[in-house]
Amino acid sequence: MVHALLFFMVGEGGPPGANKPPQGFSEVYEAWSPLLFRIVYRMTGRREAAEEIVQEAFIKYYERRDVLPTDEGLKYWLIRVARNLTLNHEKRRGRERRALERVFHEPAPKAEKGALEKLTDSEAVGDVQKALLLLPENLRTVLILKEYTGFAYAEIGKMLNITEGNVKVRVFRARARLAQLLKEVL
Amino acid sequence: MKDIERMVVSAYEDGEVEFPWSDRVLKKMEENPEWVAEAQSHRRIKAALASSPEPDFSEVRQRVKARIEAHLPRRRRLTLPPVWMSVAAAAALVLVAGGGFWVGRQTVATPPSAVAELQVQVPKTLGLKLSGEGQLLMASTLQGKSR
Repeated sequence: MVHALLFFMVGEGGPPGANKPPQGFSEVYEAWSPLLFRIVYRMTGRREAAEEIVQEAFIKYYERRDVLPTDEGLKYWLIRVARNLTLNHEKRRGRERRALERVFHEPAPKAEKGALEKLTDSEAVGDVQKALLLLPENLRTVLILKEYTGFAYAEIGKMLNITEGNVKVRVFRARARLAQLLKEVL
Repeated sequence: MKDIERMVVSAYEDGEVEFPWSDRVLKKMEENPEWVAEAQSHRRIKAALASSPEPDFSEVRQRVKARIEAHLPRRRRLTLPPVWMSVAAAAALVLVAGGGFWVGRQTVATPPSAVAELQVQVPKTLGLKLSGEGQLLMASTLQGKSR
């Protein structure tokens, strides 16, 4: 009881346990940042973007950590935030690119229709990653969550606020589209 | 092959088709090479995605963590106290409470009837308006003395 009383007096935090969800900034960061880096990198194909977005996501977490859940819900929240930040980042990047193209009177490359080799990026990303980036965002996100994080359809549905059936359809469509794009590679 | 069937194969490859439907998918695959081909196509995609290289983020992760911790307003890093500290605190509490109780018992062992009246002479220079001859009647608990 005194231990509990002291714990109450001393405040938050606690010893990390095997079955205990991570608590406190450091533990949460160590637990979930590898996952976020992986997801964001796969969504953007760029290392720098992953660094910037994951940092922003954890700053948001740091600022709101008192009101956020500490269980699995936190993981879902972090992934949702990272995804939204990625979408905003990509939109901003698209706007900047279009503005530059207007300035230099160069036509914008069509990301959707372009062949793999048309997609240019500052980083040397593999063909599979390039093909992944050509998928529409709603298909890409679901496929990345399925293939690179191992979440079940139900979990992905919870994260993205869509039904499990919808996840199933999107994963299937994403794979079908990816198969078309990779036909020349596979 | 219909799209709905292809979707079932896709879900089956993800381990998302439950029994008994999973057995039915297996049976279909035994009977129909088209289903097998579809499954192989999904497996190839999965393998391609899995083999796609990924940068090592361990250094970047530490850099980002250090940046966040350095720039955000620091709050008290609070952790659960060790058990020995709790035990020591409990023992100290017991000692203090027990000692206080014992001392209290020794000093306040006054019978309930031991209420005395104390007559105090108050100098008139104080300017107090008192009844009678400036005597103040006080009731006090005086040990072993009664009126």
